[in-house]
Amino acid sequence: MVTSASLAALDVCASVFGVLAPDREEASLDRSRELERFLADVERRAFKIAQIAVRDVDDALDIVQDSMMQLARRYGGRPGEEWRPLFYSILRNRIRDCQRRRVVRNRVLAWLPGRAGSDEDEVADPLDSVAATTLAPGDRVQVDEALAALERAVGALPERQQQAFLLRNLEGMDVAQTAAAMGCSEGSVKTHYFRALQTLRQRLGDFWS
Amino acid sequence: MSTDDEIEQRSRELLQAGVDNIEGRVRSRLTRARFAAVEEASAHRAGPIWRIWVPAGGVAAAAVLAVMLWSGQGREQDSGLVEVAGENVSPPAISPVDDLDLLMASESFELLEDLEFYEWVDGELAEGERDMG
Repeated sequence: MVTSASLAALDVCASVFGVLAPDREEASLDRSRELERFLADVERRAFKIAQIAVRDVDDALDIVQDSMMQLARRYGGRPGEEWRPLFYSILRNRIRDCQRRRVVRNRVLAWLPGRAGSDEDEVADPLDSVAATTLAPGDRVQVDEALAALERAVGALPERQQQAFLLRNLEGMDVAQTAAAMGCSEGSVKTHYFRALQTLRQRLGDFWS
Repeated sequence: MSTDDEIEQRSRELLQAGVDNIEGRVRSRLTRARFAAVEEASAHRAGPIWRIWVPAGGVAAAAVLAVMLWSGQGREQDSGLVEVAGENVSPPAISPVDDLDLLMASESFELLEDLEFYEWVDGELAEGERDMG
């Protein structure tokens, strides 16, 4: 005869040895699916934000990969609605770490002779540049030029203005979510965003009109 | 000159186009990173919880040992006289701390291993005392 006490004991044993009860296993699977959906939703935009900030594809990939891992490890058990601001907060810190490392590396390399331009020796694989969608060649050139100009202008914005602009405009966050991700007040977000728009209008307004 | 709304609208469309046209190599690496992160989260959730209980178990075991020693000492003292070599003597007062010392000391294990030798020495000494007396 199976008593409730023996069932409870079995549950404890399963927990101790890392085996989940069927209902808990199902719940864990649901959480995994939810996390995967969330990451699949944000990963490309996060990559774009990191790429504009650090202006390097591989560094941007490393930043997004680290951010995903950090979110899964530290906040995977938190409610799904908290993931977005947490993820972008982690991403912001990773971008900053990368920029600091780069400053230090450049200072060190400046003292070493014959290091300038060494990265240019690498030959890019032509297949790497295959895009996901195909536009007509003329349209593609126009979009590429406009996008390059926009990315340059956004990349040149001060850090906080850049974050506010990209989180609001690319990620589609509202002011409150952006404030949570940036770790500042909603008033600061509005100010940064307004200034970012002003600067971009000055730099790109004539180019786009 | 474009208005702020136009700048917002145009930049949103362009940035989204940039996201939609991300290279295949990058998309592939992002997918791999996502799978690795989900795997990490699953492993983190399903990890055995015995690691959490180890420190608590250690503290509990130490507490139980201390209580056993303390209560055992009380019972010994209650038992009164102890017969040693045919005479009734009162046992020496041993504090629980002495018991702990005995348990923790490495030489006590050596004594237990050579118990027969010490019994033989004790017998020899008693016989010597009888001969002299």
